[in-house]
Amino acid sequence: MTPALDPRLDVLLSRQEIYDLSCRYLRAQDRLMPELHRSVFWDDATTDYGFYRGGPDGFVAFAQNALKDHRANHHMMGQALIEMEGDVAFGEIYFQAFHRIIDSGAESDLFVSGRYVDRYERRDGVWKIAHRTELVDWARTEPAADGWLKGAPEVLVGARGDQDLSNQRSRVRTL
Amino acid sequence: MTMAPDAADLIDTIAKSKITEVLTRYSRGIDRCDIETLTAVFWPDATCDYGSGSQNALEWSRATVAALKGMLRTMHAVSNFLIEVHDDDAVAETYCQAFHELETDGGRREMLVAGRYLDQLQRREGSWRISQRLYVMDWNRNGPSTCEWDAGIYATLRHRGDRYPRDLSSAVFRRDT
Repeated sequence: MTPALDPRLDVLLSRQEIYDLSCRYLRAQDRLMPELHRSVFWDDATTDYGFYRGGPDGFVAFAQNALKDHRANHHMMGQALIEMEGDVAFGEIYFQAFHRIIDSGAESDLFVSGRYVDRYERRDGVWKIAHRTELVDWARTEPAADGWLKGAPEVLVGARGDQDLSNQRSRVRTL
Repeated sequence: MTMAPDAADLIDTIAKSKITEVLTRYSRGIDRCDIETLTAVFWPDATCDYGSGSQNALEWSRATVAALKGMLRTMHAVSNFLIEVHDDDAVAETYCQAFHELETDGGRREMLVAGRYLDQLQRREGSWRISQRLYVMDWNRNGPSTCEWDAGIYATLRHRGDRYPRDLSSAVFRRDT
């Protein structure tokens, strides 16, 4: 049994673990990885996205189904304000999300920017999301403007699921 | 019941903190066109591949800083630092959204390029640096520059970003770590 560390370190370690939850959540949305998406929530977690309210199984199914109709997504995380109260913590996580969508037949870029208001709970030493509400602060849609990409076929473009290089650890290890 | 954090958790978190700083210093080196800051994030034998083939990262750094100096300005915002540490090795995925403004024959243009860095890092003699970097692009937008400098509220924001050593941050940070 390892001796317990200074309790002040608990805050540092917990904040890192909680930060990693949102990294995995956003990664799972961008790479279309439902198991990873689901893994950051407790089984009895609740969510409220306006479009969807309910538990994590339903949310992940809803979100993965909606995202797969997009051509690509890129969810940037911003400041993560995390405050602990023992085995409960509260978070405000900024995000800026890019969605390449088809709007009336034309490629468009939908930007949605907002914040996740979260409650996290630590159970048996593990932090996961117990509640997540998504608040939207601004959104805008623009016609696609990436003609440069079509003239640069050598650029490595991101993909979903196993097709993306970030899901090919054995390959990256030997590159 | 709270399970107390142990030494392994602490070691992992300290490594992630140091790696996050390395990944952040990369942006600083690029945007300030500061070759000393930029090359300090790579091991001398590091390789990088931004999509046109693998090459030595220090050679890439020198060529890239020279090219970036030809642009009016750049800003590489990094986030989503997802890091896994395994003893003296680590892997990281870092999101990046990069703004570029440049002069062209057709006037000033802006490019917004977003993607991810897929990195392998190594700890050698206690220091973390990148040993291999791959860049994957996710999206971009391009068009005539919409930057305004001397009208309205912009006229009051007189401190403007610049390259090393003219930028106001230049005297604040070390360049060799």
